[in-house]
Amino acid sequence: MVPVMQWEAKRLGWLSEDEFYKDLSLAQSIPGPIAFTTAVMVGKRVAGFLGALLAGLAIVVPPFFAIVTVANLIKPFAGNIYVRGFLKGCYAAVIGLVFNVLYGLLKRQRWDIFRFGIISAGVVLLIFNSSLLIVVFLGVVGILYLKGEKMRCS
Amino acid sequence: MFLSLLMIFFKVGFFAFGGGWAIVGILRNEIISKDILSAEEFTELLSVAQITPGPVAINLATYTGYKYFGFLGAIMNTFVFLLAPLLIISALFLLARRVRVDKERWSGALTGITTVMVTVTIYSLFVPNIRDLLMVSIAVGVFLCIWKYKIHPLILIFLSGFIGAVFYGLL
Repeated sequence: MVPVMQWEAKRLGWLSEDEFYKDLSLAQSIPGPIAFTTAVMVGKRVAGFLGALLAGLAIVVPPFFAIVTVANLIKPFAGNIYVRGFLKGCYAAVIGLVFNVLYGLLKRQRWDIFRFGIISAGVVLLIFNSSLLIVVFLGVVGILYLKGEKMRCS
Repeated sequence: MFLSLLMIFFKVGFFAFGGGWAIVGILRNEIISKDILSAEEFTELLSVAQITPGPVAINLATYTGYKYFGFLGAIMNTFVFLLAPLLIISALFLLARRVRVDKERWSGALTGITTVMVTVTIYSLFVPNIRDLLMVSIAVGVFLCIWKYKIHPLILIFLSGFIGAVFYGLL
């Protein structure tokens, strides 16, 4: 989705490649689907508040109707053994896909025993109790952020 | 129950870094523990959310809202999920130059927490739901196909769906 957005924005001359990458990198460092946050920020840059609003809506509305349509299409067949088999197969594939996401994340980091320990502790705590999310989030982000500084100074 | 659904999606909205997969595990645990969906229903919803165009986390929000509270539920649940990014973007524009964050360190820390959450997602998708060898084989096969042969995930997901339909339907 993002490469298409970049290509279109460039073609229409709305913003330079530099500006696009600035918005994209900011979009990646705040929460929310990247396509959505990027759209809102590019919208803001190109046409102010109204631009942000319209860009945000434009990126949400088509999938919204796609889901509603699919939900209605699938409803009469919810009990069908083939449809259920199909969805079960898709679900297993999704797990494989998420494995690949994790693999990409693991490869991107420089690992040491400290980082491994912090991340493992976070995983164990969250599996144990997912309502600890806020604590684990602040803990892991805080520690890794501060540790980053120390490494740089030394 | 509708309110607790909205609260769940509003809350996880703040933690949805690095693509939707980080929050799927947390979402699953919360949704099932609050009895909004059964484990099997969540499996179905997640599959549909993934094969429908659009970011998977938004699709999941829309579909969960729609399934239990109709059209209005879908709109509201999608909106509350996107409220966190909207609030944070607005805050950034207001505070613009007053906040100083080292970008490299921030993104390093975010990669760390995303790793934590994606691992939790895999755990919570895998451990309670995978009952047979076929699902394990599909999951491993899909991972290898994406990693080694760079085949587009959507093709693999549909292919796995057909394999599932044939095996679970006929056998």
